[in-house]
Amino acid sequence: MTILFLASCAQLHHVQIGEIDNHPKFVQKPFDIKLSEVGVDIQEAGRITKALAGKDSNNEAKKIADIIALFQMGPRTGHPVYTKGYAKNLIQLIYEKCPSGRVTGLASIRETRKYPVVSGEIVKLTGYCLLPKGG
Amino acid sequence: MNKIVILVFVVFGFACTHSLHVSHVSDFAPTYKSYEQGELVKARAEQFVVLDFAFDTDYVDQAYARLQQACPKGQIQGITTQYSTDHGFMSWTNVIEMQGLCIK
Amino acid sequence: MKKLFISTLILTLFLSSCASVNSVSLTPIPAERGNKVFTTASKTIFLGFNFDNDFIDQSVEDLKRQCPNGKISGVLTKDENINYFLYFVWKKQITVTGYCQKYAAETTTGKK
Repeated sequence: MTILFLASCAQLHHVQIGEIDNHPKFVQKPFDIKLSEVGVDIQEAGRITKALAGKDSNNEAKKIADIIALFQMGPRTGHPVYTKGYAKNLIQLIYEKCPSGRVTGLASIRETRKYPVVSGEIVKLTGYCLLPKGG
Repeated sequence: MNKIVILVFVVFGFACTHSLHVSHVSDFAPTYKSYEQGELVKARAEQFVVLDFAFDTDYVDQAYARLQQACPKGQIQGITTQYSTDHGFMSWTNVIEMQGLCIK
Repeated sequence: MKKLFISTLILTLFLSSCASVNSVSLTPIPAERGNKVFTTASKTIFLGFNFDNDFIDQSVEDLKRQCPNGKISGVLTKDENINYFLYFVWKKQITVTGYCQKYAAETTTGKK
């Protein structure tokens, strides 16, 4: 049970890679930004409750999970999250890492780290900040 | 114990959920300007869908047009494009949000 | 009456389509937006039998043809699914829109 709860699966949803500028007059300093939010799968919670609960609660848990599913309809990538806009301030975070704005080799990754019932819904951004050689 | 579990279900289950599908950041070339040298511009467009009856994806083009209108004679660098869905009762709202730095 | 209702329902299911977005991306937008270029590539898929995605390759070639001696910027790439009948038949469509900026023609004067 402990192993089940501690192990996780990483799932890649989307990846996009931008231009890469290997200009000889600049040094590339790597940076990465990771934004995440906890996702919850009510259906999976219902299934686990059903498995662990007594016979009487079996049907109750399933009914509640089904009713809740009607209130959370729609396309989903990974598990749904309760906070909107957790990846809103990406531009500001990029400029914190690279104030000059000379950014290249950007890779935008949308991934999930799955655990039982909950998951980490992650937006990861890696790139390089071009710094002039010789300071 | 079962009543507590059910209560937790109800509290979490009926809250609004969202799902972020794509988050893409474009290049900063060829302008390569700092944050102070530009102006942050944003655009957003939505599509409300009931039971998967959605006949077009024009809201994406609307967000694209609005972003350009926000920076009419400038270049836009570092564009963040996010496609997400707000879940609801037998319906949902698809949302496209774009933001970038307008360089004039 | 019942037959008419069922026929109308089946016809509606077949003729209507449901569109959804898979992914969308946008590259830096230029200041000059006079010359718009556009292309779309699609593939109809039956029962999930899809053995390649080569239909996408023609999009880049088509855009290059529309903008010879130029640079295409502000590229909006939209990847969408259009479902025709309960996902037994659906169409995968890639729509690409951008702006073409022509490079200035170089003139050789032969001056020394």
